[in-house]
Amino acid sequence: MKHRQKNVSAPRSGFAQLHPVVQCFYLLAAACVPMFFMHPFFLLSAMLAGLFYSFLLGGKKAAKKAGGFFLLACILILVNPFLNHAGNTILVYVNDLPVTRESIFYGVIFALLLLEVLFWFSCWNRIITSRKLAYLLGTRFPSLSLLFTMVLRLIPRYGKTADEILKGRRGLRNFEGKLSFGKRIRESSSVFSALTTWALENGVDTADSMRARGYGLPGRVCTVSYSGKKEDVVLAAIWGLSMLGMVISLWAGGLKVSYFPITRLPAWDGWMLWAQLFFSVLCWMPLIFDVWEELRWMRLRWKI
Amino acid sequence: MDAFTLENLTFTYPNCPEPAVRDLTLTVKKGEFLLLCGASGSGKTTLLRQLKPALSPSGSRQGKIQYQGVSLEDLDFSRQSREIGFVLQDPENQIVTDTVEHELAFGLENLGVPPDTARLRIAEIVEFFGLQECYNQETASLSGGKKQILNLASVMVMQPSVLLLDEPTSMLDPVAASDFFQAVYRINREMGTTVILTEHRLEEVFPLADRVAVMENGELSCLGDPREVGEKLFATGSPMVRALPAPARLFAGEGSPLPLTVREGRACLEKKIEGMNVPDFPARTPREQSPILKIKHLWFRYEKNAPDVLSDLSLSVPRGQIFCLMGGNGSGKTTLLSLIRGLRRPYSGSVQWCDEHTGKKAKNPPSVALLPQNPRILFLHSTVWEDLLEAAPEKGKGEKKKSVLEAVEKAGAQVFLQRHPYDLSGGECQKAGLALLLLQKPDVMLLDEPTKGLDAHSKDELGDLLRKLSGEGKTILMVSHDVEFCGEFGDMCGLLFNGTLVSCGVPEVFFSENRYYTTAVSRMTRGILTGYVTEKDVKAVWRKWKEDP
Repeated sequence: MKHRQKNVSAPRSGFAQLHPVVQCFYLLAAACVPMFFMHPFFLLSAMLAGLFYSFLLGGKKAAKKAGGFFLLACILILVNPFLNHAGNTILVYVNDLPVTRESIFYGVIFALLLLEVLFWFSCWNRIITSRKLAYLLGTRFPSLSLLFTMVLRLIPRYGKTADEILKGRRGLRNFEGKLSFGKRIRESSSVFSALTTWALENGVDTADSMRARGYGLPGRVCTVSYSGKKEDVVLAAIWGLSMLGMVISLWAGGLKVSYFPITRLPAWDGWMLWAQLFFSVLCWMPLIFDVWEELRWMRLRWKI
Repeated sequence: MDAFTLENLTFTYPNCPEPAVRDLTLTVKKGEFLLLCGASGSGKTTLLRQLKPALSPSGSRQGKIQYQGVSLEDLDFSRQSREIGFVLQDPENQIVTDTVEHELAFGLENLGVPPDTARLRIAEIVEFFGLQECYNQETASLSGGKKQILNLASVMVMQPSVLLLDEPTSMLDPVAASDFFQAVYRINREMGTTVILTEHRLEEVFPLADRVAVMENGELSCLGDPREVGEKLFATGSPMVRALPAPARLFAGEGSPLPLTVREGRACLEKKIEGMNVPDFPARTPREQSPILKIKHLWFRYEKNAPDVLSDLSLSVPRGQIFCLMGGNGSGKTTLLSLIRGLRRPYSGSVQWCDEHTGKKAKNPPSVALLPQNPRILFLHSTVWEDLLEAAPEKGKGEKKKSVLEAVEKAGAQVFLQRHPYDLSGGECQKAGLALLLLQKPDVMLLDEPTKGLDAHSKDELGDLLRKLSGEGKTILMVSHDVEFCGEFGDMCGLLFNGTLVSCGVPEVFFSENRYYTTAVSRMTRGILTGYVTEKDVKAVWRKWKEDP
């Protein structure tokens, strides 16, 4: 469709309505902490939380996407042992190359990492709208933030115009049958060249429109502002405390993970349990908060 | 104090022998709605840009421009950005950011308006322009008309005291253009903002303006009240006459005050034909031609779960005629053309090319070429000539040249062959596109909105050209919003609504049956005369009456 209606606002309640800085902290922590430690439990917890949260935000579409991600992960798990031959425990030889238990296990871990990052990234996309990103970058890097929103504007425009050019050329000329490879290359380069000309010529107008509206005056501000609410303070405090607790537990208990030459995971002692509990709070919090808010509103509306 | 005072302004572009604006003196009063019109290349855009220093092109300028008593050179950038708003031609290009919300805030962010004030101003503007529904949307998802309204709103949010508009509706369809003019009119009346508007489509905006200034070759040829200016243009025989509203064209030079709207026109007409016995207009009998194209029960949608764009559309296009298909935005016109050209496939129904003699499915389908709405995107070289040469399907260099020259002559594109495609005006660009089309030697030409952005003169030229081509046996199927053009040049007209053909016939019958979707002349003569659709039809009666009362 030419004009597809698309709403760019984030969901109306719960985590998505918190202050962007708080959201940013939670999303980054959930996605990045397991990346540093590569511990199976951290990865699994973050992956599951990310999976459920992206379902909650995206519904059916997210489920479809998740299917694709899982497929990718399966391929990774299957392929890894045949590419990576490190590890001491050899299970079988394929084409004179060893397949090791460690590399199979590492494949699983790596797939978990990939999934975890992908899921949290899709949550990030839903929660941190371009306006929020503009706000996060805005005050300190105004040009960067503007550049970002302009790029977001240009990407769909370029795509649309490229399609128009392609269709325009097809509609005009009589291409008989299929094009040969060489001709296809030449055709694509023509489309690209026409797109470049178009972009340069039209860019002048955009620059005029910006100048006309005072772009370049000193003291540019970002008009988006988010004020902190009670919930923001509470969630920020929970984040800080969990982070602190996790770091202390890890520091006291020690977290050394290695996968080669043999898999070595830290013992399941008290400190480890504490660290994992704190991390779970971090990455399940958005989901918990959303459900909590949903229940609260349901209760409030019940009284109407 | 006046909004603008121009004294003996002369402006010359670098490397140009002739000045683009010559010795121009003009005063624009505060709160005035001034319409600046003139043929393309008359210097109206150049003049308008002189009034906004940030957008003034480089060149040499003599004379004085004062803004509210201050010389324009002394006006600082901040005040200029705040107080002089400017809306450009292309709705797409002006949008800077990705969301409607941010676009509205853009100007205020530049000015450093504190967030609380900014939010209030944006809220006000959204209410004023009725943008509530698209406030949370991406700018890319808006229609062209809404985009231009957004551009207007994001200028008005800065609360300018003067609004300059450079052909703001030339890329819009008539309905959207009308909405846009109404919005500008409201700003002028309700906010007291001074408006200076350049435009070549005068039908709608002529009655709205307080004063009209006409430019010719960089000079101010005429200035005054719309009615006065209209009369003067007729008296001097200016080519701008073609662009005037239909009622004015019909009753100019008759002594009574010039009618500008259909309502006034009807009153004049009733007075004029009192005692006349005007016969019904003899409707053409449709030329009996075997159809070249038969479309049967066509269904199409873009995606599995998307709504149908075309639903059960059946249509038969006669050979060698100009078939005009009209319809509003989203009625599926452009989609239909791409289906006929075979760029997309319907999910049900058929598009069949017919044999000339048997009327059955043709063994060798005719060659078909489609010209897209914006032919400019087809050009990628630095001159039109190079592009045409590359597009010629012939093998040898000499043959290519010969075929290009032939096509160029037919399309009337000789004058601008050595120019850059992006420097062409709308009319020239359309001609260049037609030349590109003719190179393929098509039997059937599909045209998508060929009159978009053209001034009245270019439209006439295009119409004559299409007539000539159809006389040579080419079948032309065009889709358009342009009711006046289709009424004048079409052999057959059809109305597409909601993905299907609701009405079809020769223009005289087609337009007399329609009440709203019809030409201005038809709206004016309804109930008074029967079957009169174009100015020519009515004028013929005038003449006949004079000769033989």
